[in-house]
Amino acid sequence: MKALLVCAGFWLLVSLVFPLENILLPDMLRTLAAAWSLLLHGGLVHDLLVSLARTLAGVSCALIVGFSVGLGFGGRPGFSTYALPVLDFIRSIPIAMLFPLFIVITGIGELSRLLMVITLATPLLTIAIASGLRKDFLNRELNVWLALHRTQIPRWTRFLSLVWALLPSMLAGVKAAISLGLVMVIVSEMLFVANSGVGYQAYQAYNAFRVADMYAYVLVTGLVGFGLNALFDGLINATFFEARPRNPNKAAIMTGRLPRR
Amino acid sequence: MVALSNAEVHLPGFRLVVGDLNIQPGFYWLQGPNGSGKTTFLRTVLGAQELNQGAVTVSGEHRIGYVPQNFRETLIPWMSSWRNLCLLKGSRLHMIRVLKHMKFHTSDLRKRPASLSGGQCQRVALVREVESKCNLLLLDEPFSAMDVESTQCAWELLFRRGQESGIVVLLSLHHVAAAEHLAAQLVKLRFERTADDQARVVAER
Repeated sequence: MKALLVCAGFWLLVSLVFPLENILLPDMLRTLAAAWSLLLHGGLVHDLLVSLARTLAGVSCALIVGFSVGLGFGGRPGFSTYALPVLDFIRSIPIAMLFPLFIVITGIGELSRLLMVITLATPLLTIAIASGLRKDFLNRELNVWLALHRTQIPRWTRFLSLVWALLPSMLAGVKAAISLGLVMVIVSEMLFVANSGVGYQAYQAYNAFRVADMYAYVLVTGLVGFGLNALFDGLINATFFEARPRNPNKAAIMTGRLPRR
Repeated sequence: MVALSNAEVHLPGFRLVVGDLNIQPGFYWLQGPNGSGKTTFLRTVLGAQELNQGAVTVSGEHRIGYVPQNFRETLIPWMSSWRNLCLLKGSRLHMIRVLKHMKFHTSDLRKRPASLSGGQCQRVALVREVESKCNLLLLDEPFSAMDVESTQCAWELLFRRGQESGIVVLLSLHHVAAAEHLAAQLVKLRFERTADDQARVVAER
């Protein structure tokens, strides 16, 4: 966070000492003014929400598929023997190679965009879930206890305890999938027919030489991505430390150095 | 009730030879040094550990209750201790009465396991199993985190439950003082190391 503020301060200093009027880097204050104006009158919030909605829709579908397939991978070694080569094959194809294929199958539009995000995010989430299942999952006493009292514990509780156990690895997967999905959505908004979304608007600003607007879109999208990252880091920390005593010295535990007393 | 015949469990670097063992209703004290296979034996009876040789059969209608050494892991983390208690069938009013007797503050029933101490979690886990309708109780170091007073109450609870007919209690315990005064009523299952990588079970009355 401090490093970000230092970068912002440096940009501000350069802007004040050497007034920037070129197309490479506009004046910081002018960029902030453009961002403010876009926020108030230019529909920046709407475009951001559209791009985020596209990303989240794709990642949510990928999570449903990835969770089911990941359970199969982690829980049944026989299944992974069959399915792993397919997953590896899909992962090996650069997603950009599939643009034409999706457009041929579904046409240019929201569906092809959604399919691209799903194709990108599904292998990631599948691996995240499967790796969560492998980490000593079968040795956990809770699983033994739930198996013993299977007839008395509601199925929903048993399912939730499975989700709870997988939560740290699942959240790490979702965090990576959202970052990649957002990249995919923005690229598709720039390249394909679209009439909304931050990618589309940034591209329009670039075509019309509205450099400050273009930077404003980049800046705000970056900030939103940063916020989402922070949110997921917080969630991962909260679930990881759930079973530990209250108020742990997280910094000391994570670095492996307990403070000297 | 539980019969093991020619049973052996092989783990990396360790082999537990149980042989033939017939466990009838009563109190069994699993006694032995660390690493002599007590937990492995309990997990074998549960069915969580596979046998490499022989067979284990549990006859009759049975319901198993289990408190492992990592008792905290058996409590569902997002549920309060009260909801954790209510997961198994049993008299809830009686469970509260027993917990109060074991110096467990009823206000702590609202808290989740992460907010409770080890001893409090152990009391919840133990009372939940003992007061449910189980007739085969497998308890692995069930007093390890409790204070002296709570241990005494837990003993009374176990002893009362063990008096009921048709109940098997398999109890792994290092806390000798707690077990000695009941020694006459306990069957000892002694776990002894016979070699560096081997242990066997001997039943003693």
